Amino acid sequence: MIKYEFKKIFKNKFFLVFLMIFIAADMLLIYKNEYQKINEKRNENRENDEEAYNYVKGIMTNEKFDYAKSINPDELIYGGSDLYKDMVRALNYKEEAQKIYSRAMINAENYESIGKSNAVYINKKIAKAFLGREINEYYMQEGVDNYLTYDYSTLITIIMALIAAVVLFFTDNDTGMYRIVKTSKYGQRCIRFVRMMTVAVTGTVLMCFFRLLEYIEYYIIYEFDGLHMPVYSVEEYAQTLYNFSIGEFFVIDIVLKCIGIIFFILTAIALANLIKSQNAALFAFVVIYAGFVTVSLKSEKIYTPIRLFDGYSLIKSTEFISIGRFNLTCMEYTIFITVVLMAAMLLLIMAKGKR
Amino acid sequence: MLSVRHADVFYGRNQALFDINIDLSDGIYGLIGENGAGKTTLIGLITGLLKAKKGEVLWNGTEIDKLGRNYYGNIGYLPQFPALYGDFYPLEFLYYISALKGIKKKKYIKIANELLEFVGLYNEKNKKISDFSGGMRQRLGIAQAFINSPKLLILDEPTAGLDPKERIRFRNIITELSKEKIVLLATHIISDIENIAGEIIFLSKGRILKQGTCKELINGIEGSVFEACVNEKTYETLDKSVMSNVSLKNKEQNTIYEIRGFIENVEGARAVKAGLEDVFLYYMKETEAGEISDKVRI
Repeated sequence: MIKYEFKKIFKNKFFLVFLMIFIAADMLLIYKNEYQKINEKRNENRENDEEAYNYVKGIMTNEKFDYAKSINPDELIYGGSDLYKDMVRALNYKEEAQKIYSRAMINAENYESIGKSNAVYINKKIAKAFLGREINEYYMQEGVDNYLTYDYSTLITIIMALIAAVVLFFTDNDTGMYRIVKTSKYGQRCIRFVRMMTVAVTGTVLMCFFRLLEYIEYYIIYEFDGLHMPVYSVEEYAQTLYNFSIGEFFVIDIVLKCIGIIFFILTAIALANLIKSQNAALFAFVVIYAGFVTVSLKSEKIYTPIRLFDGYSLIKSTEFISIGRFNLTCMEYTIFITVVLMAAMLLLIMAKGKR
Repeated sequence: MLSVRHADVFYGRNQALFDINIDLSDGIYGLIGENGAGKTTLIGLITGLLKAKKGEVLWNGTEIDKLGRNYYGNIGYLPQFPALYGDFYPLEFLYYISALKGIKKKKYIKIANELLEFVGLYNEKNKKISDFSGGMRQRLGIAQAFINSPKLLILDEPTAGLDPKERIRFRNIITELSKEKIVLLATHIISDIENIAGEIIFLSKGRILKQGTCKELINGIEGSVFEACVNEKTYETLDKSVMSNVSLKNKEQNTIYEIRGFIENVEGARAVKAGLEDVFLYYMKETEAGEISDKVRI
């Protein structure tokens, strides 16, 4: 059954036309925002810049430091970064991490003495995260944050997933096919579940597709290097509580976005089940989505499922949220809230909906 | 056996069906009524698409709501003017419906191909449904209704849009595939079911006017149907609502009307054998007369 539901989506002319338009728009937007700007910044001595970078990249040695120091820092290299300063920052990171570790351990001891177990747990977790951190290798990481903060494909994917949901959940009413479908053995809850799965998978696949496409375009522009390096090696993420690599973070970011997409798909389907009118359901969805966005913009401390689309901000955050005895990081908390809400949506969808 | 007990169906505040009681066992049933009589509403009730405000629908003595899948597994339904999925090919569509009806893949591939052949669409299997004519869609709709060998087959205006040749073909298909099934055929075209239906249910304005075998119904009004030839002047003076058929003939520059119906008072009228159309007209008029006398009493 699921095979045919996919066919309905991918044979739909609106879906295909919008997909083509969005792919083109997405690529053009990145080109306009990134490639044109970067080309303006890069100096005429591009070949020399590349030679210099190729010499210093990799494991840092004294010779490489001396070489980097000898290069004129006023010369623009790869968009304005100063090789020597970057290498010094990387080298000094170990000391900074050690300081944070020591401070966290002291805090933990102090909180333990006054019986604040939550604070003890949090500080021990911070300490554990920063224990043994150092950056031994140097790579140009310009573009990593740009790629992670680029978010237009989220909106595109939500729109495409909504189109897919309309094709599967509303077309039967428009064509009268619901009379055949609903009078079949698996034409009530079963088909609803199958269609829900189809839209969820479509949304997930589209999210992965667009992120991969964007990765390729960003890779062409920035030539991502050192993806094996820990995420804290990127200056913007120096304070992160996580120790996975940049490459792993790219994957995690996609997974978070996929979870977010599935949540919003379930919301749209739940609304379609509750509200008879297609337009009213769409309006309700837009209001809810806008509500989540507004709340998130108003306060960085409020973590709603919309935050899953901003994986970079969840990784950067050092806050903990306590739920009873549990102290969750922002990412853990956001995933938890989303999963709870998703379970509620699922129950709503699988319960006897409108005919 | 399918039973409907004292069912009232409403659309908002408007009552569409009034105290419907029917029992259907194996055989072909014709459900006849004018446009808006409530045929599709009754079908909606039987198929579970509509809920009765009062009353119940039973399948072998159990309410259909309680049976759920066990009931729907027994249904084959061809709705009025089936749109189907235009982007699908006919075999693809039948496979999809088969999966929806819970037929195993190994079985449904064979059945779908056989049914497509049976309804005369096998040579069109490489055409998309959107390129099908109305008659072809109807035939595909019939095929999907039969695909799970249903115990209860419901066909709503199945010959709408079919040419005479296709309508004959359809009647033959129904007769051939309807053994040991309950077949409910809803139509306002009496000739479609006159020769194949074992029992007829007349529905008008949400009420069952009459139910019985063709023979019983016709015998019930035997001797009431007349035919006559009248000139134009006489024709203008007659009550047209009692006529089941009127044809025009020009004879030597005079217009002659050949009329048939409940016209026993017309000069020269001769009694003829009644048909189902006459039966329907008869009970419609009885109902109208009853409504008028109710109004007069008020």
